[in-house]
Amino acid sequence: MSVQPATQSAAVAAPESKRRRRWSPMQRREAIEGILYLSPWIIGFTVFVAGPLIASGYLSLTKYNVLRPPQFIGLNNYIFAFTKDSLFIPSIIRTFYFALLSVPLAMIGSLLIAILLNQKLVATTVWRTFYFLPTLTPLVAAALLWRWMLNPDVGLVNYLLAQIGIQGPGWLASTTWAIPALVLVTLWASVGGSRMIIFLAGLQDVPKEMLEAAEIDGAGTWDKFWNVTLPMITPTIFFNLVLGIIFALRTFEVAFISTAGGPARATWFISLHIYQNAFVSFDMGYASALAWLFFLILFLLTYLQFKFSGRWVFYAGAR
Amino acid sequence: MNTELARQKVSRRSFLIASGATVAGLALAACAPAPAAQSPSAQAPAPGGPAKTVVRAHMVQKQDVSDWIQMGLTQDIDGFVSNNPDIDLQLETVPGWTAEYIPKILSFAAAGTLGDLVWYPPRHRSHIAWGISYGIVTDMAPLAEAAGYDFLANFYPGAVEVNSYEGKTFWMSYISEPIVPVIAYNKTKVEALGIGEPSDDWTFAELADWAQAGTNADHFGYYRADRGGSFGGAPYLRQWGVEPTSADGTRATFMDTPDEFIASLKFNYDLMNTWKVSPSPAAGAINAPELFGGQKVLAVDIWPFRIQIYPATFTDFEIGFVLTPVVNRGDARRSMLNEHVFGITTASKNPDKAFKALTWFCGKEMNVQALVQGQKGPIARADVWADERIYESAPTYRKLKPIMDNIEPDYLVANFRGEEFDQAYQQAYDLLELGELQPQAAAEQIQMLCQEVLDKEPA
Repeated sequence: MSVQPATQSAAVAAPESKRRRRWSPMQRREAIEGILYLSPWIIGFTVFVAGPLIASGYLSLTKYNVLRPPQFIGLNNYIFAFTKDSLFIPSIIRTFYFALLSVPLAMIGSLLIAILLNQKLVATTVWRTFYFLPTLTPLVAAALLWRWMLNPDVGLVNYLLAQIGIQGPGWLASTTWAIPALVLVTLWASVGGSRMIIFLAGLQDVPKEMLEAAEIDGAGTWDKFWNVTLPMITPTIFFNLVLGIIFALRTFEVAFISTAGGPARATWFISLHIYQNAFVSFDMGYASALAWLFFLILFLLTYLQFKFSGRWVFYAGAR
Repeated sequence: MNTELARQKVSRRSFLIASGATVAGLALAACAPAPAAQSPSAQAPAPGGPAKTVVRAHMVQKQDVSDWIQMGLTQDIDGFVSNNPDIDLQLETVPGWTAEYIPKILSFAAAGTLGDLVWYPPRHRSHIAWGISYGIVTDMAPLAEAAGYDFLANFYPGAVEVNSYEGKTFWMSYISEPIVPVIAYNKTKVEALGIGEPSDDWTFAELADWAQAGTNADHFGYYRADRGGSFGGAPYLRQWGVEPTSADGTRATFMDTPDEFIASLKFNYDLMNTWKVSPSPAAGAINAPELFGGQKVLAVDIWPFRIQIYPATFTDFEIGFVLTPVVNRGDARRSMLNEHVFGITTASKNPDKAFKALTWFCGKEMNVQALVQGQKGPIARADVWADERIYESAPTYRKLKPIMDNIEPDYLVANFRGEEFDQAYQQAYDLLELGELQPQAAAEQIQMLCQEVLDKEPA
């Protein structure tokens, strides 16, 4: 086997790469066909996602009520949000409070159920279906159902609490308890859902040989979970955490149906505030500005999560 | 065999061609103009009859709105269908309420597919924005003039005033009634308790005493039901001498009369938190009809349309009706008009025919029949209130006639942000009813929050 000098191989490589740039008719046709296959998605994305996104960016700099042409007003909408809109900042704080309560509980709850369903139980499939069922209930129906369940006078929750000597709170009618009550509704509807399924998949992906090795080394159940299982499913936890925070921060239906933002705006989340400005007051320009501010907050939060994920997320195979 | 099967398979090329053709076809279909059948001028004449003009009326799907107009067409009330064979009134209904209806109408308007008539339930004259800012409805005055129609000869002046702005009349009343002017009470139970029946000239102080006498372990004495907030509660505020906004609608004027406003809030606060004669919202969402029907509350404020519905629904006990109290005996009775209105769109190609249809279902006979048949609330027409037939079916309406004769219009929110104004009021009012805010503090907050809304740019 002869070794060519480097200069010679470079001289040969240059015309080859030039030749590669010129596509054969077959390659060209394949590329066109590939783009055509992708075109429904490209068109859909352009028309229904990218287009409205760019349009809303422009509209956020205008005064616009749908029927009249937008009037350019610069950054006035953004300035208004921070200086004159007394509902904007409190609605952001309330939304974060909701997320702070709901995300950890939902993550822990889903993980616990996934661990339970990962055991070798009788009729595992039936149990998995059983836990998944609430997710199939439309959130609107769940919200209406829970309004009755949480009724302080005739609701099942306070009735059960009374049986053990606890006087239940006003739940959705209380400014203190309204957000925890909405968290409860959301948890019921989501804790056994897709998040749990993803955890289950993550748990089933943990290499058995590692668990066996730990067992041989004398690790107990808790040690195996803490030192093997948990690190191995950190990518799954991270994925669920990112999505969970985004979903919690943009929660809308449950508050819209259960409390309409009340009592006394106790559940007036940012999504309701955007909805109110867009579809009740028809300040589409201002609503777009609020949506962009909200997007920037979400973006920053997600960026920070990714930035710090290297400290605790372990990817098998990664250095 | 395999080769033959492979030949029968769809090739990638033919699949792409078929897909491309389908997408192009769909795109063309989506971009094509609306079908000719929706165009009023394109209606073919019915066999042996005159050419029909379609008049499209947008409204919510509701018993007293779309259902009643449809019944009017079916029953051919006032001979509208038989006398107008050239008009085909088509009702295009939207399930839900304003949250669903309004965006839909704006979408139609933006897309240029709006029909001829639109319905609207105004809040502090927010509907005027659809005339002057949004350009959805047109001034009806020229149409009325051409048809020889006099608004003031048909409607009470207050009902014409709220629908007009700067000399233009954009809307016509369809439902127009005094806001919560009466209290329904459980006559059977009141007699059993021996607490005496209330009289139409009673005062708020007497109501409080009466409610305390009527409250026991089984039931509350009174609940303010339909008169919460700054819309349903506006006649109540006026009765106390409080006007929510200035005449030009730019200033919240609750605190122009601070003593009266705080007293009015204190009365509500005391009902729930001091005298405890009313259920508190802290105990959960209150469904007043359920409470009243279940005999858990002795008396509730009601909208006029419930005058017919309650006796028909709650048959276990006898129901009496009494006018809402005044502050001091002999005080002039204050009021506010609640309305559902219709307007003719600027997009209408046949506004004259739309006007004809509008004047029919907002006309006398349709509305007398609506009350006689118990299908709808009243209307601000003197001729309807003068018709004895309505009192035969619901004698209590006689109590409302003097109020309607002097009905006061809704107050003005000049930037047409009426719903926001109500929400701002409710924000502090909720805390008052929950006992988390004292009347003085609630009054100050209401003033501040409502003024904040009025300071916004026009909607």
